[in-house]
Amino acid sequence: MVENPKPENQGKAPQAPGDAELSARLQHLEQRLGEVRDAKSEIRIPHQTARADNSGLAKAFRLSAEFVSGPVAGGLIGWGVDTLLHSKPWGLIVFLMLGFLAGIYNVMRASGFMKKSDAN
Amino acid sequence: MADPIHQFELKTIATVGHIGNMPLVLTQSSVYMIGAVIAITLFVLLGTSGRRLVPSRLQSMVELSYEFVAGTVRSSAGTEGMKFFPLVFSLFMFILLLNLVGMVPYSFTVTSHIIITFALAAIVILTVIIYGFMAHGTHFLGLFVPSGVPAWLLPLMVAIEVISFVSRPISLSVRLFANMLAGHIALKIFAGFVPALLAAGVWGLLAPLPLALTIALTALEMLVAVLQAYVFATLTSIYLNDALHPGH
Repeated sequence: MVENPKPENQGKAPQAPGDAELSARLQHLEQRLGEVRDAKSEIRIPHQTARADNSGLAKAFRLSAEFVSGPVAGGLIGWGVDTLLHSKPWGLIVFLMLGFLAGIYNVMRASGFMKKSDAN
Repeated sequence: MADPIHQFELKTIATVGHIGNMPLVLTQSSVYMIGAVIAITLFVLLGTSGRRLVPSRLQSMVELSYEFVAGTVRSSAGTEGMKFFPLVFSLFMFILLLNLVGMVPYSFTVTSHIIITFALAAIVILTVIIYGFMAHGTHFLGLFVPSGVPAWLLPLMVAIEVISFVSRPISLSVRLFANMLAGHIALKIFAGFVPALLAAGVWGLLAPLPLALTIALTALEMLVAVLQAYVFATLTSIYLNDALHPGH
């Protein structure tokens, strides 16, 4: 890592480098960038998930929002179905219950309860 | 005691025009948002104008924020997800700056209004839907069909998956909005106890207690402001990942 910048700096010297040399340098740079990226992503992924999970408050807020949004979305869909089909209470009843299920499903998915079966 | 809700009131600065009977109004909220966009643009443009090998302070701040968001996108949506990097970076910087500006005393917190956070979440979900259908056509609907489910359970699971998908913009917007609103109300209430106790004679001896709590809450709110911007960016990347790879 320390010796590498030197040849590149020398390459910037007055005379224009040939095409072959340029593409070779580009390839070299791409390869090094790839190495840096790989090394970083290896470090970063466990580090980030650990931090996001460790904050209990953040987790609590996240899970509560995940759950509440389920019945809210179900209620909105049910209300929409009712006004479209004039089926007054039934759409709201059915979709609220489905929304309740979706809320629990959301929480299970967000808490990593079904991480192995579902890639999400 | 001070009214904790007063800080969220919209104040008209100028009336720009009319749409039908509705006045088109420039509020202090719009001014904060325009200011945030200008500030972020200047920050990034000035930071990258030098392009030095050894970065200046400003340049390394821009590089740090780039690397942070790029890492978030890569870890949640893969390298393929980098085509959505401009969207995620804009959302992250916009929310982060507005959350932090809201922490300055007497300033206004734009992200404590649900219509703002819902509009941001709607941008994300519409991007997912439009890109999903453009890239995968009807195959995108495979997102709603979980694999490995017995056939008699499938209609129920599809209904739940659809509602779960509809609930995403709601949870995304409610999370940010509720965090900012609740935090600022709590801060205002506990800060309001200090002058109230000081005005009540002997009870003034207790005034340091809510003051200490206010300081602790301020630190917590700073954490929440940054964390919520990060959570928004992460969830955006996760949802965009669904648009890139529908069927699991």
